[in-house]
Amino acid sequence: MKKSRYSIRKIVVLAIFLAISVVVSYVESFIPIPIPGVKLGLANVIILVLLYDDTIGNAFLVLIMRIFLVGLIRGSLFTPTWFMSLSGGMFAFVAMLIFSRIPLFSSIGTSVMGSISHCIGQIIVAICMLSSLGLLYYLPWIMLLSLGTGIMSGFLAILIRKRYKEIILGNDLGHN
Amino acid sequence: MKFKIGDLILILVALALTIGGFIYIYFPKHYDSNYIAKVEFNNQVVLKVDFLNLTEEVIDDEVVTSISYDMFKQEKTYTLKGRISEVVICASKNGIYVKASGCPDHICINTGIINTPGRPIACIPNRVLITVIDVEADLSWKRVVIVFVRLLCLLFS
Repeated sequence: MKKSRYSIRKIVVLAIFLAISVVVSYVESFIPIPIPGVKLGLANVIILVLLYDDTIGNAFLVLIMRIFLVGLIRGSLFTPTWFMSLSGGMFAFVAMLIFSRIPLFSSIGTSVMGSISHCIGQIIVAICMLSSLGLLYYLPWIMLLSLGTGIMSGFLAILIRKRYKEIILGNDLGHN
Repeated sequence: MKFKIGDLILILVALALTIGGFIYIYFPKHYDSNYIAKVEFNNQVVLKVDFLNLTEEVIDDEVVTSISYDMFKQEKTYTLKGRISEVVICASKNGIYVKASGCPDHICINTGIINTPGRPIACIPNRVLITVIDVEADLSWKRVVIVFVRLLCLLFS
């Protein structure tokens, strides 16, 4: 039998991470925030953990599948809102990829950078769709909020990485 | 794993940029009689509302389907045919806002009332954009370039 690239353990762990991030990003869309178009970005924590403790390809896979699945669940697949979240996700992924490889920054800085570039990616798509630079006026509001949520999800990522190492990576040594 | 010096620098830089943006947007603005609201659909101006005098200039009759006036509230109501549903826009002395829309997120309604240049009301599913502009100095790309130059100055000062 041809050996798969992924062990069963890896597939299960990635599926759990995907399920968590889909549920979290669906649930947080119900949390009201006064500034329009802003979310907590808790699903970004999962991508951050995978970027640090797993391969880049797996993190990208989980990100793309999350965006598709959330689009299917919310019924917004291939609508302007969905393209905004796709472009935001791509921008955030590239920014977090770069910053997570620089030793000067911990996961707090990386996640702040990720949430700021998520907003910039969304704003760029919105500007292209409405072709109005007036939307740039939203940027300070969104940046202020994303600073807060970015710091929060950075701390969360530190906590989750600690547990992840203890539970999942720790068990691997004993049973492989 | 803990908080590093790079994080602190990053957060401070982002905070400085944010505060600079706020200063630019909110500092030199006054409530001015030169302001009118411009309503765009599919990137075309369809309606211009002078909300201080409650007069309007309809540019596209096919998009702006009806106009009504409420004597008691002193409000004018405009109904637009958006891409997915009708958009009901209200204008009064205090400014202009979206009263009802069939879009899924209701971001346009939650934006609330606007009366100065700065925050626009955007309904992306309906392709409707409402901005308040200064009749004398329209918002142009030059102004956006100036924002970035000012922010850069702030950053390196």
